[in-house]
This record gives sequence, structure tokens and C-alpha cells, in this order.
Amino acid sequence: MSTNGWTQIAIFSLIVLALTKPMGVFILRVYDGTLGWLRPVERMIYRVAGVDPAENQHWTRYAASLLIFSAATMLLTYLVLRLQHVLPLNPQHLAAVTDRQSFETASSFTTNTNWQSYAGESTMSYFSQMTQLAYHNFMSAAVGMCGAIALARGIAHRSAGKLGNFWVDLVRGTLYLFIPLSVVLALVLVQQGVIQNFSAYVTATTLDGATQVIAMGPVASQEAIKQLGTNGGGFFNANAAHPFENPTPLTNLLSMLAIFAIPAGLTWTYGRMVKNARHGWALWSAMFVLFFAGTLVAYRAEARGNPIHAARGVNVTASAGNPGGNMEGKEVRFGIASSALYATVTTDASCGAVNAMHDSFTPIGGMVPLLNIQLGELIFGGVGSGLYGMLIMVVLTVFIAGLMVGRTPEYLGKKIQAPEVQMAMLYVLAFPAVILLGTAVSATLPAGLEGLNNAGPHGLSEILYAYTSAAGNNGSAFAGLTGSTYFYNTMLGAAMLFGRFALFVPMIALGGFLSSKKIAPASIGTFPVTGPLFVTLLIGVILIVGALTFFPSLALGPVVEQLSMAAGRVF
Amino acid sequence: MYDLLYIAGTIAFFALMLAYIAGCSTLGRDADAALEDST
Repeated sequence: MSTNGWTQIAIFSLIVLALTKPMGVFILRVYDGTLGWLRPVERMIYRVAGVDPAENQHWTRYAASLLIFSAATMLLTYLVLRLQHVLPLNPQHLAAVTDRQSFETASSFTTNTNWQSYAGESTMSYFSQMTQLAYHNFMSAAVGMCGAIALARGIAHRSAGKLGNFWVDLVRGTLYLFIPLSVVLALVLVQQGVIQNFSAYVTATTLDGATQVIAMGPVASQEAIKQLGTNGGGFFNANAAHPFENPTPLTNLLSMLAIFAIPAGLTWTYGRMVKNARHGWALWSAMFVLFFAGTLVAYRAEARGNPIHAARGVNVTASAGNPGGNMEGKEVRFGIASSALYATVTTDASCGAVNAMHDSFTPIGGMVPLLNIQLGELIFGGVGSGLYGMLIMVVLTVFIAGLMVGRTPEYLGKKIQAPEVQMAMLYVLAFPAVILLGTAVSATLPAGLEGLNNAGPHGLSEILYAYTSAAGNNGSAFAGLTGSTYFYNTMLGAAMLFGRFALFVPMIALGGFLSSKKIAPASIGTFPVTGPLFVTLLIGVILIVGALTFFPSLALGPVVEQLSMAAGRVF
Repeated sequence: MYDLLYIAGTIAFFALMLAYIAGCSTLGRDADAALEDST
């Protein structure tokens, strides 16, 4: 580990801290309706869509609106991908996307997962990329924000199960938050060298005399929302390791900041909504502690490198001209510290963009991204989903603290009773059920084993990572699994749907239940939800619920592989 | 053939989620009623 590496991590952390309040103020103004410079556009959208913006929806109606919107847009995407060969903006004359990949891709982008079992540049027309994939980048992110804001309203107010208006939240999040920020970031990326054009692909002759096709396209516009919306689906197969997507150290830093900016700001927004700013900062602190711990472990593992490389005569000692450590699968431009930091950031959030191949990390280095997703991607997390995932853990923390002292648990003046805990548990149990059942089925059936490129514990890690990434709506891949088969396209597409919506429903229900509760004033017996004690207890609950659920599978995968590697055996 | 299966499966999934909303709503009401009975 080097001073340079730690400096990069420190600078990134300080900028995230500095961005939290301004971004939080901005988000608050978007969703409380005080920002209004696009009001005529807003009104026109409501009129055309037949939406009554004044309606305050009951949580059941809010959740149903969200589901119907997601179903309709997913089916539309499926049809467009199947018909792209007869649609415009297809200068490469790309064929229709296959049925299985259309299903998985439609599911993937609708759920903010953006898992890609295809090479974007050779599969998707510009029309498909722009009208469907980029569109979902905005909409799926805005849907995630709707969930967080609705839950926050349920906790903050007493409104008989009413959580706001889904359509208004969706439109305002898209118009005021994601589109303006994406335009600004896209322009900065273009200035840095990210391409943005509609040109046909360029054919070049290499120095060796071979012919190479260089893909073109509207990359900067997709890149901006890919990071800001924690989507992660790259225009190119190599994602953020591709020089047209991520050409400079500055674009690399901006990419990571764009991933964390909104989720970090949302903690501040939440603190203001519930009139307890210190609670918002307590959530931020818990997230930061977990982020820093993950970065430390991943960076240390990659900087120490692979002892088998050293035994084969590879110089793994860092020096002025050698980064040392494990450089396998990493972009030389970014090196070890930046790759470890990027891997941690992209899996703390539900982004999934990568600037290095996680499959090539050391077993423990690769376990960090895996565990980050398995914890529920609540370490800043996906836009919206990070906050509501964390609030589920807060409810459980308060419940456990209440049990410990023998009092009825209260959260911000509202009693936590059986229905609330049932909803929290449905949320918490659905996630590992999808991952572990999917992994077990795939590790047993021949169709699941056919896609493996590695045997032993590494093979199990590849399957486990695929289901974790799909159910966690992350989308990053371990890269060693051939996921483009009927079996995996269908199974992973289904895992994405369950991982998103089977968690969404109890979460919104929890908001609805809490909104019906009286708000009692704090007393001397109220468990404080600020300060180090709360932060420590919250982190403990996250680790117990998240990490222990997956410990047996991690022990059979990356932990065994790490021990084997130390003994000189790799898979 | 597979197109129909994927489309039908997607519609069935979202219908299931709508039923899930109704189930959660019932669970909440039942629990509230039980709580009131016991107090």
C-alpha cells in the first residue's frame, strides 16, 4: 500500500463528505416541491399522462403505481429489443436481440441492475441504447428515489398510510435531479475525452497490420446517468476500464463521486425530513465506517498480491516503476489503489460499473465486493435503495435495542410493533433467499455448471457473485461465468425482478404502517438514534444480519480459495 | 414461442407482486386488530 493510494482514498472521502450537505439540500428541494423552474413541463407531463398531482396516494396505491409503471416499461423494452433490426438508428445493421437476452436485459435495466450478458457495442443499436437502456437508467433511478422518499415520509409524518404521489415523485426526480446533473456531468466527460457521436464504427489498421473495428456512439450521455443513477451498465463491454468511457484520472474520480453523491446527500435529506439532522449524520457515519473498512481490506489484499505470482518469479514488490501486488485484471492506467477503491464504491452502491475485473482480484479482495452487495448495498447504496435498505436495518436495530432494555421499541417517536417488524423481516429474508436458492440450484444442475470457467471454490464464487449481483440489482460481473445461456438469462432475470420488487413491497408497506402511527415525544427512556452507541449497534446489526446469513457460502467460496492460494493452489 | 413465455412470465410476476401488496396490507390490518384486542 502506498502514500499515493491512501491519498487518493482520502481525497475521495473528503469530497464525498463535502458534497453531502449541498446535495442533500438539493434533493430536499426536489421532493418537497420548492424547486419549480420546470413547472410548465411538469404540468404538461401530468396533463398528458392524466395524473392528478394533488392526489396523496395511500401506500397500496403508491406501490401499485410503481409496479404497473415498471411492468409496462419492461414489456416495452422487451419488444423494442426484439424489433431493433427494423427500427431506426441502427447503422451497423445489428440483428434483433435474442428472446432470452431481451428478457434479461429488460429485467436488468428496469430493476436498476444493468447486468449485461452481451457486448453492448456489437448487440445493441443506437436506438435501443438511447430510447430503452438510457431511458431506464433515468427511470429506474427515479423509481429507487421514490421508494426512499416515500418511506421517509411515512416515518416523518402522520398521514394515515398516505405517502405522497408516485407519479409526481417520479417526474420531479427525473426532471430536477437526474436530467440536470447528467447533462452537466456528460459535458465534463466530453471535455475530458469521452466520445459522444452517432458515427458508424471506424475500421483501423493496427501497427501489426491487422484490421480492428473501433466502436463509436453516444457514450458520454449514457456514462453520466450510468454513474449518477447507480446503474452501471457500460456502453462498451469493458465498462469503465474502456478508454472511451473513462479516459483520465479525473473521469475516474468523477465517476466514483457521481456514484456516491446522491446516496450520501440523501442521508442529509432524510435527517431534515425527520427533523433530526444528527440522525442523518449518524446514518452517514455508519455507512462511511463500513465503506472505509471494505476499502482497507480490498486495497490491502490486492497490494499484497498473489504469493503464487511471486513464486513464479513475478516481481510483486512495489517500487517507483512497478505497482507491485496483484495487477491481474486491472487497467495499468488506474493501478491497484484506484481499482480497489472503485470496486468497493461500485458495490457499496448498487452501481456495478467496473474499472477492473473483480474475477481477477485475490480471493479476499474479490470477497469485499461480494460481501458489500450481500450486506444489502446500504453503504451509501443505490440511489434511494441504499437509504431504504439502511432504514430497514435501523428499524431492526431499534427493535433489538428495545428488546434488550425491555421497552416497547420506538423509532423517532413511533412505536415499532409486530407489523413493522414483519415487513422488515420480509425484506431482510427475501434477499438472501433469492441469492442462496438461485446459487444452490445453479451449482447443482448441469445447465448451471455448464457456464463455469473455473472449478472448485472459485467456480462457486462465480455463481454466488452472479446471483448476488442480480438480486442486489448491482450488475457487476465476476466475469468468469458464461451467463449468456437460456438457463442463466432466465434465472438471473427472474432474480433481478424478485430482488427489486419483492423487497420494494414490504418496504413501502412499512412506510405506510409507520405513517399511521402517533408521534410520541422523546422521553428519558427513548433509545437515542444519534451518537457512537447507535452507530456501533447499527453496524453490528448490519454485520450480523448480512454477513452471517452468507457466511457459510463465503466460507465455501472465497475463504477456502484464499487458504488454498496460501498453500500454492489456484482454481 | 419463447417470446410468449417471457411476456406471460413477466405479467404473472407483476400480478404476483400486486397480490403481495394486498397480502401485506391484510397482514398489517390483522396485526393492528389483534393488538387492539389485547390492549
